[in-house]
Amino acid sequence: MSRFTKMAYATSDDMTFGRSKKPLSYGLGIKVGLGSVIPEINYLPRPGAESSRERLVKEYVQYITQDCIKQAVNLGFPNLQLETEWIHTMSDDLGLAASVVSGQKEAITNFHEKYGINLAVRHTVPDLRDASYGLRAGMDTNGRPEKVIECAEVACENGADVLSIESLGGKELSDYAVTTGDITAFLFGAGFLASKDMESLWKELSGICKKHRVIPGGDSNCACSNTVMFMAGGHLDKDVQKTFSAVCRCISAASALVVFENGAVGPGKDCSYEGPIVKSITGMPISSEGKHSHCAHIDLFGNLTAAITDMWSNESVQYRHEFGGTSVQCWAGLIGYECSLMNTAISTGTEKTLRDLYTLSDRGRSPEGYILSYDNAWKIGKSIIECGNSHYLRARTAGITGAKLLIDGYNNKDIGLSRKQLETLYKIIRDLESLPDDEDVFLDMCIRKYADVRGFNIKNYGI
Amino acid sequence: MTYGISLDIGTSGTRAHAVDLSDGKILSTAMTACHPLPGANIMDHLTFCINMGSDLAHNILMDTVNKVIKSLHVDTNKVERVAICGNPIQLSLFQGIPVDDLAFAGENAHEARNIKQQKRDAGVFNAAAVGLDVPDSTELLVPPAIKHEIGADALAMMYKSGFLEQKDNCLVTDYGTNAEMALKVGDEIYTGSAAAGPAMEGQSIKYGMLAAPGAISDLEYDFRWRCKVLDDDIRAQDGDLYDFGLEMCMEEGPMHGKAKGITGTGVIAAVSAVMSSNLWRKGKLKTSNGKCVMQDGVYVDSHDISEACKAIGAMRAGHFTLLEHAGIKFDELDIMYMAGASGTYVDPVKAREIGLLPPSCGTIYQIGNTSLSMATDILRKPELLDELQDIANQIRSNHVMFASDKTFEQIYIQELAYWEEGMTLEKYNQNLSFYGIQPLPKPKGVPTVHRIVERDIPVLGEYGLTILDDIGTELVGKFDGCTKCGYCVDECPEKALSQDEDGTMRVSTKRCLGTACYRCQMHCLEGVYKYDQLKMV
Repeated sequence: MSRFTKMAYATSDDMTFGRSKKPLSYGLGIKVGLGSVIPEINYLPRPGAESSRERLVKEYVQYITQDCIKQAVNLGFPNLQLETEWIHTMSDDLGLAASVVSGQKEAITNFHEKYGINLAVRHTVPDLRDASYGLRAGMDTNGRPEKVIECAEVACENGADVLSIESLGGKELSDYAVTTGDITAFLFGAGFLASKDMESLWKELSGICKKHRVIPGGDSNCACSNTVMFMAGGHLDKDVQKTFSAVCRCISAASALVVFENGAVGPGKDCSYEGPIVKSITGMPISSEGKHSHCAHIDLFGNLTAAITDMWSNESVQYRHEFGGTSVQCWAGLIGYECSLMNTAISTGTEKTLRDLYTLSDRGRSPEGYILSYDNAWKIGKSIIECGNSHYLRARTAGITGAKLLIDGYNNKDIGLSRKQLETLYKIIRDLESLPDDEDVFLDMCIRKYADVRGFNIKNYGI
Repeated sequence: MTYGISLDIGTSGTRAHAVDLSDGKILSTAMTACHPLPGANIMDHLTFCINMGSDLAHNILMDTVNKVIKSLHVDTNKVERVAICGNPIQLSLFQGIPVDDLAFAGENAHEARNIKQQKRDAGVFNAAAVGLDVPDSTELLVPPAIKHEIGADALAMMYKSGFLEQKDNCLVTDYGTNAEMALKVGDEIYTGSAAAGPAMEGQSIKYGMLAAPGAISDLEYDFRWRCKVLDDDIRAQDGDLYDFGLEMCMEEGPMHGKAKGITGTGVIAAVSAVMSSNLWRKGKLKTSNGKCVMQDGVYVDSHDISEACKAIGAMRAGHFTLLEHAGIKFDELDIMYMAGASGTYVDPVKAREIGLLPPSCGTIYQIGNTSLSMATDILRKPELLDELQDIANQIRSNHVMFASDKTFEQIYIQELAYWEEGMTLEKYNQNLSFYGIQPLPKPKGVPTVHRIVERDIPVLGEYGLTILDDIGTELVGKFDGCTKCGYCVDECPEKALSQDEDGTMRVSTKRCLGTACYRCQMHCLEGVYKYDQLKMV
């Protein structure tokens, strides 16, 4: 069992964007975390492009890939990473997927040869599994868990530079938690069960990556904590308390860490908003999204997430025509220029100033932004590694630490909170602190308590 | 107790066993780190022979072989039998047989020079008569060549591997400086021999060394590259973790501080790592200092990688050419036997990836040093010679002389462009299609590897292994008109040349690159230095 027991950074101030303790090189000249922030463009084909194999391959390779890279070359960006988040048409037809992966590899190779631009492609395979049918191999008669592994094999065998996934472990409990406001259910699902699932999944995925010399990038607790974040929404949205969403993010960080204890080496997934906490512990490079992901969804920390990132990404933007070119060209320009600003700050020695400007811009905008500020992220990271081996205790402590940081911030007038947000925090602390210290006792309690939650089956987690 | 000596005379070194003839048990092993003749490959040795005389070449080789036998820790007065194996050129040099029929290819060339083809059948000779320091009565057992160009070493790899019994299409290659290869399709066997050069054996590489404590023998992918360093028991242990793209050591391993050099298998792993990290472009390493630095200052540079790439290119072109002559496609070939030290220790997955074996091979056998093994078999059972002669007579072989083969030439030109000029595989295949040659596919999947032996020489014997470095001899000469400017000495890339105060030139044969170089002669300002006029001490 591998566990992080030390912080990669001695202080939070040591963390900046563009530099990580464990930098990486891969693809065609990409160097992550070694002194520059790299743009990572994310896209989706147009609806209807999946109508035929040829059309979809053409959409990905000849339109999207070429447009992204040409724009980067056109604007003078030295680096670009592409991220292909597989659509279901690809997982349904692995021959098609292989053509997309190898076609993209061939395209980036040609552009690298021709223009010298450093390039790589991250392939994020879909988690097709359904908790109701079984998350582990042999459980689902439809073979969904096996298909996920097949997708990873196809991606790695055909030219992926980085492999990622957005795994769904614990989602049945986290969905229940967000609709009922039950932090214990979230802790059990996104903290404990997701850790167990990621542990098993990433042992296998990192093995596949090693066999094919592909970088195991990382996972995201997107399925759980981003759902809560999305439900908490903006200032007009009141259905889910933003303090609840903030604590959920802290809990998710503990399970996101498990991925890096089981073979992943980064750069983490862009939608893994808990990335700053993970980076403070692992020292591995992360990718982040923020203001440039608003083509897909809003968040209340559009600048802040750039503060200590190593790659800057958008969210999947649908390929279409804009006045300024195609959508991917526009977004490649936006994220590329943001990276250019950050890299200029690095080269002029002002990166800490820009980091702090990014942070201050959003630190008080929402509770989740507050706990993801790099100083608080570091404190949450430290609380996680001091908890020993228990996935449960690490996640619980992260939640309690986050909640207390918010109350301290409120008391110090560092962040404003509504009465309801405060009450939510007090309840969360009460609920989490009243839980047993013994993981087995907690497990027994949750198995009984959540037995009727739709899709929940403890066998999904090898327990 | 009476002893037997088995010998494998290779292009980059000699290996030997002492055997107790009463029970056939191997008592000791000795080997040299290089060949005593000037030059790095078989062509250099042949040219030396022709320019300087076969007798001189024979004497230098016998001097080394006698040193090897003396280091086997047995009483040479009690040696009753010696059995040898090797390629036809080395065996001819050993026996003192003329080699001009091997040096010049084709009947026309032979007729024009009045060259008589030598008979290289199995036979029993007098060992002392060929120059071995053994009793007069000692027998020398020599296995047969299959045809005059296809020697006993090729027979050994076919005989010892199970290749001859294999029903499916299969390929066997003895990975050495002179890489013998044979492709079996039905009952037909297609053979060839690629002068790959010594890079596969860690020679001609700046930090190259034989497998010994401190040698980096492999690089293991762990999302960066983990140096594997041989410990005192010659076992690979974890060294430092390097990211070659970042040019950084990411983590020190238990063997940190203990690396001294790199073996041939390490060089192959380095090529694989460099290609995988996209650091090779148009014949140069793209790193900031043109080096791929491993641990403790050990590195390979662009020249080293280039040498290895040329060897890989020669082997791939050889394999490819045999397939073309046999008329089969890559996907009709699945089985590969890898012989020789490099063939045994190299990671077959990395080797296949960079082209050392055909990309279609999914079943790989690593079978060790078959040449020494067959010589030892003959020593134990001299009547095996008759059996081997029968096998040699029955083999329907088609030898492809790569040196004069058009297909090989067309493929090897693409190989050079691919490795040295940055030509893409797509263009490589496009060019081959103009000649009607099938495309070279990319490797797919992960092959199944059967490692038949743990070591290339599985048994070392109770007296262990001795590695001889003190081999070779000196060629000396004094030239009228020499001003002792020292320019020739400075120009020698291998530091093989020195000059005494009285002007006498001394060339260490084991270091000298021979006819492939001649920089000493070319850079003589007075034009008086003549390499061919040097004499053996």
